[in-house]
Amino acid sequence: MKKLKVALLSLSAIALAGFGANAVAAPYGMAGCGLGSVIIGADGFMQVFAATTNGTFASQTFGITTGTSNCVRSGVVLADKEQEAFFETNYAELQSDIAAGGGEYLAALSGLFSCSEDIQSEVASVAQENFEMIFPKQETSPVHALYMLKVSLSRHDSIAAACHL
Amino acid sequence: MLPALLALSTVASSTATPYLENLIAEAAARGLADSLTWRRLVHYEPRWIGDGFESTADTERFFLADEGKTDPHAELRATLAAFFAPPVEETKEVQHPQCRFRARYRWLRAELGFDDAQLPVMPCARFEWWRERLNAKSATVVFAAAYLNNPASMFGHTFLRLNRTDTGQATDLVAYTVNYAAIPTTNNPLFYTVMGLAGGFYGMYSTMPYYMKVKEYSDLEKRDLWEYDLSLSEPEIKRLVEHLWELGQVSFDYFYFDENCSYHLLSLLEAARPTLELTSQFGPYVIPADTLRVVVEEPGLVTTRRYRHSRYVEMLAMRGRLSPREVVLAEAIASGADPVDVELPKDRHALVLDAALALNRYRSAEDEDAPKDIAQQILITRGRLRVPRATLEIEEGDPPELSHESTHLALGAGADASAFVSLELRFALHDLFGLANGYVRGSQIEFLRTQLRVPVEPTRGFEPAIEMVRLLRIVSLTPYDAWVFRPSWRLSTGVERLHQDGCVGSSCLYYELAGGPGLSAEPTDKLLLYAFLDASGGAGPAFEKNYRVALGASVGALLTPFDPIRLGVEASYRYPLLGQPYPDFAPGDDGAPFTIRGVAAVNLTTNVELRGTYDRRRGYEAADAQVRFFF
Repeated sequence: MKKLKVALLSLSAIALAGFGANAVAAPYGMAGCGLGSVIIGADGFMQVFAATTNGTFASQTFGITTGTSNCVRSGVVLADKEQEAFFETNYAELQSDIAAGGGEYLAALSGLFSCSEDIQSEVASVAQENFEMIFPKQETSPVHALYMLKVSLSRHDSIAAACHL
Repeated sequence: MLPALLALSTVASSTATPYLENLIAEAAARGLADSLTWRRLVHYEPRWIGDGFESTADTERFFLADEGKTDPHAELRATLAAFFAPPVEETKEVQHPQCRFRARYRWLRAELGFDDAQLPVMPCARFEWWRERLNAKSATVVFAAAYLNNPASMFGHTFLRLNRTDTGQATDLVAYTVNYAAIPTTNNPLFYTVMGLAGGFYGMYSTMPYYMKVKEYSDLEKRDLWEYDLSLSEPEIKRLVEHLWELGQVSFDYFYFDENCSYHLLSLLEAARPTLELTSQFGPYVIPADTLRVVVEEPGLVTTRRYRHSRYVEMLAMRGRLSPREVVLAEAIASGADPVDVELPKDRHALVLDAALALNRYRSAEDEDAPKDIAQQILITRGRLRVPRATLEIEEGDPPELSHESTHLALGAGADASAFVSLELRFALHDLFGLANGYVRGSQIEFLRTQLRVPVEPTRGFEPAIEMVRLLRIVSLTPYDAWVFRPSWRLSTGVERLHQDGCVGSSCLYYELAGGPGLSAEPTDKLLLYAFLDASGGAGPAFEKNYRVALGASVGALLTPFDPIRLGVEASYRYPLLGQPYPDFAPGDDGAPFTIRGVAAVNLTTNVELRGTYDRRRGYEAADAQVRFFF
């Protein structure tokens, strides 16, 4: 019975495959830390960033080849690479948050800097003031931008005291 | 004792010490191999046919006994024996069994009270490192909801998030998620689908930060995410993490319809809290939205629900707070107009720039060739305004667990040439006139809809007749929007009946593939208008030459005057190019070659719907009423 149902349903789903695909094939530029690559490590955990078509299949339409990841082990990001990986992956979101003086991604990054809750708004406002220093041009590298953000934050004593930069 | 000896022989480095024999005897006396926890940890399920159990895991390394996949007792004995293995140096490939089978070890140790002197404790540095990095304090089920322009997304997708805080904050972007997905081994979409359905791929668990899943679903696929915090206790979270480590190298044959992402997510929760009975609530297929209902309805399991809107919804909300003039300005800036020289107060200017940036980013994601330097100019201008981000108020949609269930059975009565009663079964999921709560208005996806009609007039012989065996019908109405343009489309395939005089039984059935592109508009939130081009090809005894190729067009309207009533009307015109002349179009005939169809639907409860349909075309007129029960 189970096999019959599968056989019947497979007929109707064939047509579906082609349509589902167009929705996930959107290009995505920034693949941080090589997290875009698909690696099945010897210990098994997939280190993967792949879209799942129709919620079920890891899809290779989305595979990004940025080479072997050097900041992931057993499916988790190495501690000293965590900020970098976050910044690279969420580059556009962080640009928006820093320009707009606040937002969820900047708050999460402050969390990775171990900033205390009550310093968040100051972090946001200092980051905004320094937008052009952090992102001097369109293609500023994530590593450079992260570094400049930390530099600009550490110039403020109150932030430097409340975060581990 | 023979099975135990066989099991031991698979662990070459172990020898049967008296202490091991004691442990095996005590485990047997206490029936541990038959316990719920052991079944959960090794993923034993009752067999479909016959007695006994079989594990759903399909990796040999997951079993320590040769017959471990089908023999819980042998597997438990072999597991105990393996714990006695001599120390090993941990590498990527090699771990001591006490580490590799961390959840089994910790559970058996607690149950049997291992004596460390006789069964030395091995250090598990790699596991401990990984556990600390995951840093799981609580768990949240995340559901990716349906979105416009891809009706298949209405099936949903679920994954688990391991929060780094006890509460699971919405901002927990850096927390890890646990996903279960198939590893495809082919690029061919046809093989891809068939193998997916038939278990030709294998599936594995993976972990990745939540921000990556947010990017995938919220940003790229425009799906809202719903988060359901679970009440799992600290020891339960601990076991979940230990068990996940065991599963890191295990694969399962992947079946699209039953052993899919949702099924394996539930089995992970069952391992964390063995008394949960989640997977057993499903028959031969599992739809993610249904598993969400099971999780939500489990008493005390879900503590909080949270809504995370998609990037797309956010963009529309940013536009929503602008005046009409500002909307035009934002669009111009997104397309490259000067973002600086704008005669607006600073705070309004900031809102315009926020919306313009969102639109620019949305369009660049859709179109690779879009100019990239506009965003930088908007960002710099926005930064110089020194205006902090204003809070964006976004209304929550309908939670997906409140949607109607997936499968329906319908009883109906009606009349065409004679009166009839009807019986209908549809496996899944939702159509245009169904209750839209938790789904997307204007989206339809139907799988395997079968209807039988029995005439109630003796002259017709009470012979049941197949009205349709529709394999698939998808409709995607995406209303026109100045910022977001996406075409509408629809597609249908299956066996249909050609209603014409003198045709009875199976001789007027045909198999058809039909579909085409369209446009739709939403003048008010109660009215959806659409128009389609229709191309169709059919084959079967219903046609004179056994086939028909036709072209046509349709216009229709979907009106929701007030909850829970839905009304619809559609007029179609179809011109047969090849094969059989269409019965509603006879050349030289004066009559209108149209098909008109009207539908009225109302829900009594979420899962009980009344529906009336009226059909009219040349030589045929039919009306029927149905009551649909969703389950």
